[in-house]
Amino acid sequence: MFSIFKRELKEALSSPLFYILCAIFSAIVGWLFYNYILGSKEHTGTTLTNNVLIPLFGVMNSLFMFFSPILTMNSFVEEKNSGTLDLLLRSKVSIWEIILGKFLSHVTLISLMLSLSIICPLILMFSGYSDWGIVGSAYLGLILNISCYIIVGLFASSLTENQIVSGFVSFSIILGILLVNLTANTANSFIVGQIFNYLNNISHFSYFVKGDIRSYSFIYYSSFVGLFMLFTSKSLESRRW
Amino acid sequence: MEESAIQVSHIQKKFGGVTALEEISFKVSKGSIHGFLGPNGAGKSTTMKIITGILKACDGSVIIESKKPIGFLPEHPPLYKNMIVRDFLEFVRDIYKSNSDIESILSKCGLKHVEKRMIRNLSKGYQQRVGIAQALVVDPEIIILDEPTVGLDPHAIKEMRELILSLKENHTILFSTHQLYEASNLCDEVTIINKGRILKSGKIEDVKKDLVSGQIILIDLDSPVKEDDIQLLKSEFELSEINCEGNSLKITTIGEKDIRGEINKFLLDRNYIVTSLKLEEMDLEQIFDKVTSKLDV
Repeated sequence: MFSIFKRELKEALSSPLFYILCAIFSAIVGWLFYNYILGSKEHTGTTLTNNVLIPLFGVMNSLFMFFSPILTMNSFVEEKNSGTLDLLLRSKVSIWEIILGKFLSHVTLISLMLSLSIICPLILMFSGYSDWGIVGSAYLGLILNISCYIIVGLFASSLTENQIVSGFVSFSIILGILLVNLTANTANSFIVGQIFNYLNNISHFSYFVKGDIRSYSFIYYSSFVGLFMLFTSKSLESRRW
Repeated sequence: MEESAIQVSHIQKKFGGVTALEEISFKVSKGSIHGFLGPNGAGKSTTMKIITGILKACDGSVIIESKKPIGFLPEHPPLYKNMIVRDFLEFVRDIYKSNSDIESILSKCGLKHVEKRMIRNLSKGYQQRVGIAQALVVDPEIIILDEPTVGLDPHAIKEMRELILSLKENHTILFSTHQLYEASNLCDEVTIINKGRILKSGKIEDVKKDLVSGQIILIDLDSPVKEDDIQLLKSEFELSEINCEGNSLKITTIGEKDIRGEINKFLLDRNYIVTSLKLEEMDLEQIFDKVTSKLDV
């Protein structure tokens, strides 16, 4: 698995796509951070966390709804088109190790991208901000949440041999899960509302951003990733039929 | 009986409703170079993918007499084009957990001077060599090559042929081709497949013998043969075909009996001077035409 992780990471770091996304990410986050800071002067009786960081982390999460499909859309598609997927599947590395290697390399990539945004809370630190617990929990939430987008992207790229189709499929699934959030908010029945609330990632992410870490969120994220890994492995196995 | 390295029994494969392979069976002897011949779309690649485990057969079985993984070069070599040659081979060695010596494989495949170059910048011939190298890196006993010479220039084809021959020492090789000349030069055994069915399989001489009933005799004379003499030839000998072109005569006999001496005598008796008389060996090209046309009828 480590060989696959290493190879994937090396390949992604040598492609311009990652650096282009990093530049776009830094520009948007930096610009919005500046605007939130300016805007926070208008409000009184509230905190920097509420005025600047929570909306900023929300924006980062939304950005990755677009970035994750772009980062992952080529993952299995390229392997299928070049025939290297069969090389991997015939090797002594199991399907799960292949998926895990690719997944972890993408999680490492998004962590590297996210680390660029640490400059924002660091700037706040110089003006006296010290609530690092919330910052830590928000970044953990971001990584877990974006991991879900990554695994959806990997699953979508295992389905097709066209990267555009793969990108659209993964974005559609991510959008579909987001719609569960709206359904949860508008559900008449309390229990149905709660179930939908549990099923969508945004509600779990919103707890993390507020520094409110709940154990069942970890269960949600790990089962989400596990389920889509299972789908991906089945999709790859079906190539042999 | 010779030990077999691969034994394919009654393999059947359907894609949707379309039958790609129909109950095919053949065996590959240990230590041999086995040619898998057939036109495009005959089912060669599908059979190879089933043997290597990339595809599952709908029915039938494949027995591989080797504990080591199979080295496989598909029609399009599986290469990570953004990697450099040495890194790629080391990666393949890692995922197959083999102990092969990259250094010796690089020299064997003639890749030593390009080992630090990115695969995408190599010519097609060199990419094909990297493809063979990745098949060797898994430390196989059996190597399967799917049309290894397609798209290469004549010089690269010659080198590839030499490379395949050099691998024969320690490996069993199954390779597919639709170039029959290549197979007749390289192979010890052949299997001929068309439209998902095996037409012939076995040692190359046996296959030839089975398919070529009778002899083809080419005779050059000092003058054209008269029509009366041709009729006489037909009546005196058991011939399936007789062609007369200028001063030369091509006779196809029925049965195994060597009648060259008798024909020579017949012609001399009728005052023809025989300048040459030789037996023509039917090459695979002709055999292939004969077999496939039989099936099409």
